[in-house]
Amino acid sequence: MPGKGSIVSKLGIISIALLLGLWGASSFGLLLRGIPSLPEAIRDRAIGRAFHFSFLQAFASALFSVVLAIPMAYLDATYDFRGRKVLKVLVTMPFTLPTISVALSFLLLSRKGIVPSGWPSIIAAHAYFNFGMCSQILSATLSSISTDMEEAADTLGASYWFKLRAVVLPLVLRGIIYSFTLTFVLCFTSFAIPLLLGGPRYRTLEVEIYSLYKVFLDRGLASGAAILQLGVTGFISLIALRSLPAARSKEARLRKNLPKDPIHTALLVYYCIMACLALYPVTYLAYRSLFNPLTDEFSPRIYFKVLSPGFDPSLGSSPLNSLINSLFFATMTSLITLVMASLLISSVPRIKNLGMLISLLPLGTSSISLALGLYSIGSKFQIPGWILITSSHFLISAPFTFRSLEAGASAIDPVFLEAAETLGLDRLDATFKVLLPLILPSILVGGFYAFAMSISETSAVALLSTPETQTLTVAALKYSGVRRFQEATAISVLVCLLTWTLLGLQGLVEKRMKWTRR
Amino acid sequence: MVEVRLIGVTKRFGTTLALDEVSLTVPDGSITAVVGPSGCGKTTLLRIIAGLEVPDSGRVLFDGRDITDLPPKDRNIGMVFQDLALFPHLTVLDNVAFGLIARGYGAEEAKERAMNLIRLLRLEGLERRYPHQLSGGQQQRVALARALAPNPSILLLDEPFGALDARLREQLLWEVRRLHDEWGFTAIHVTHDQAEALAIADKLAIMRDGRIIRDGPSEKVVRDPRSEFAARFLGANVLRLKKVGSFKYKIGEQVLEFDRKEDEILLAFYPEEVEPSDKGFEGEVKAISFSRLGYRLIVVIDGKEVEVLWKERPGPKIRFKPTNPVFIPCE
Repeated sequence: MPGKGSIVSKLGIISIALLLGLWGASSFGLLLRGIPSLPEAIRDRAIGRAFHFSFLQAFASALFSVVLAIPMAYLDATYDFRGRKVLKVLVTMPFTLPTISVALSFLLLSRKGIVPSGWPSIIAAHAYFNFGMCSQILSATLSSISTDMEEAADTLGASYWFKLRAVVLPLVLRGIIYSFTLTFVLCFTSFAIPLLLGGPRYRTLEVEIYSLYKVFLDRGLASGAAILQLGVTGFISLIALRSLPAARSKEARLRKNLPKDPIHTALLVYYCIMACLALYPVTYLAYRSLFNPLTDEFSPRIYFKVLSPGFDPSLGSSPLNSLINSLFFATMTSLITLVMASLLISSVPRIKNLGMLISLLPLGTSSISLALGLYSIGSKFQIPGWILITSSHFLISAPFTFRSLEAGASAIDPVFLEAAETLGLDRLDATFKVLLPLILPSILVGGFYAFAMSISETSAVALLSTPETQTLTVAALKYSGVRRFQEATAISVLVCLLTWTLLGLQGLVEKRMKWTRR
Repeated sequence: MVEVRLIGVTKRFGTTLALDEVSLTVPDGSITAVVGPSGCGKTTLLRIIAGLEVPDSGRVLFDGRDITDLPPKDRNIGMVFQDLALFPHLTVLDNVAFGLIARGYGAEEAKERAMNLIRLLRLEGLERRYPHQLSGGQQQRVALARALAPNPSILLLDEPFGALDARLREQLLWEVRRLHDEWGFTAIHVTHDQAEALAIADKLAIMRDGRIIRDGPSEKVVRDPRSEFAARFLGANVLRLKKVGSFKYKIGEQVLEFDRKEDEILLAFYPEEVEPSDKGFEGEVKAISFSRLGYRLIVVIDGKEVEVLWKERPGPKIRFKPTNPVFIPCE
């Protein structure tokens, strides 16, 4: 890392200023408009109902996701069996999907009667989206518990249940609390899923805020409701962060061969069923984009149609323009993220740690609230929409991208730089010839991640976009709203493909940078 | 006190043969050290005794009783793991009391007994601390106290002192020896360090490639290692000499006299068991280092390097003879 006294080591202050400035501006904007309307928001019956429903559905969705994930996490962390990695990828896949794609596929499945409509479909879609992520968190927590720990309990005379109660459960409890609270916050602030699946009856607070802002144009009340939401998400996020399981560099658990008894066979069958279920909605989405029910035709023509320059701009801008906008916002978000994160990770530890902490702040705020706050400030100072959208995407992705960049960079031993200096390179030369090539894969990973997150983001852009700045996810949302499902599904599949390509590239780079791990 | 017997124990991991027909008797109340290089199967052997691995074939007997299929919790053993495996969410007191509570003791009684162990291992004042708040040496003591708290018949030590500095390691080895002498449990200590093994064990078992190639009382094994591998592992120099006449053996151009009859002999000797002699080996001093016991020399004899301990600073060449030579059968 650069020397303590160099200017480079202090440039992270710029990142901190930008993060704090944007987050502060958004929060300030929200408070400015929301505080006068807060009493009214508390009294408002519709907001009260939405708050109540948001809480219940988030609780049920989180509980359901964690319960579904536990058997898979147990198998994944404890045993080695053929196809384990494939199953793991399949069950994690839903979490990589844009929420609009999940919402749309469940809407279509509920219209076909495969998934019950109304609130059960919201919980099912949330569980579908989150169970793989929960399984990953729990599996990682379980993997970090050394096999020796359980064997020590065995040699000390502990029975299976005593061992589970006194050793395993206390050690995985943090992982369970973390995955539950994280899922709770994600479901509490979920937008596209309740918007498409809840209808007028099952409205979450996020949808209520969006409606107040976009439909009823009551920005004060919308901000008041957002402050209420902020209170809950902030509190739960704090619990989530406090229960964050300690990161361990390697798996401490030795995987055993899967026993061939009925219980473990049943668990494996369950894992396989969940993997198939993970594939089903997205496969149906792809199928539905290729199938035209009016003509009974099955062809990829819709993709060429929606991407043709003159295709139906009646719902804002044409899908092609939306694609261009999506790519533009994603590129801008990636560039800002990369520059800011690079400045931060090159800084002295005090600045770096402070910046990393600040980058987590948006976690406690919903995307709609962030966007609403930014809009309030933006409209006051006439800030162009594209800057607001890029800023919101930068803030939304920062907790994840900054962390992923830092994880890669911190795995690089500063001794490499010192070794280069002892071999005759000066500090600047060593930075360029040694540090930069080492850090480059991490930068690419962060960049791809930011790009993918921006491409698939729906909530903030739905609130902030105008017809000129509409993105692909908003286009899919609008086509779903007017029941033009073939167009909606085709656009949705395109977003999925773009996201997966980016995540695939990220995976490839990560695989190549494994040698940098200490 | 329990006598441990392994009869023809074999264990494979996939295509790797970890243990190959191993038979061993650990006398009751003894400390037996199982030594050998990394990957020779010594930890697998210990895990089979603990019941953490099940052998593919062969039997494990405790006092003549076949316990091959008995789960670890029913074997009345205590084990100190290589990475200690202290429970990070439990205090020192709870860690030490764990085995007692698991075996059905009431919380109060378990804690009282655990406190006795804590006092015995000089951990008083640390009982409310968590493992991460302890030094390496303190953690080792806690692991030892935890293993001993339920009063096991057998204590298994899986290289637990490897990460400690030499002084601390020596202290803990003495601690184990002291507790063993007071309590009289049977102990099996696995290590790759022959010095550590010799410091503590009554009996040695040397392993190589999944087999025990030599076992017996420590002194006997050291005096008569019976194979070049065992001799070298125990720190001896081994030289091969060819017979050139009656009682005359040759290495390079040097001819020495030994009271042997074989055509070829393998002569083993420990570095400290040499004395200056005009009729002994002549070697060129290649390297010198100083220790409190004298000068450690690397001496080249006919292209072979041997280590010897010398009382005074030597010249470029020395002549010496082994004071306690050991003859090993040629393989």
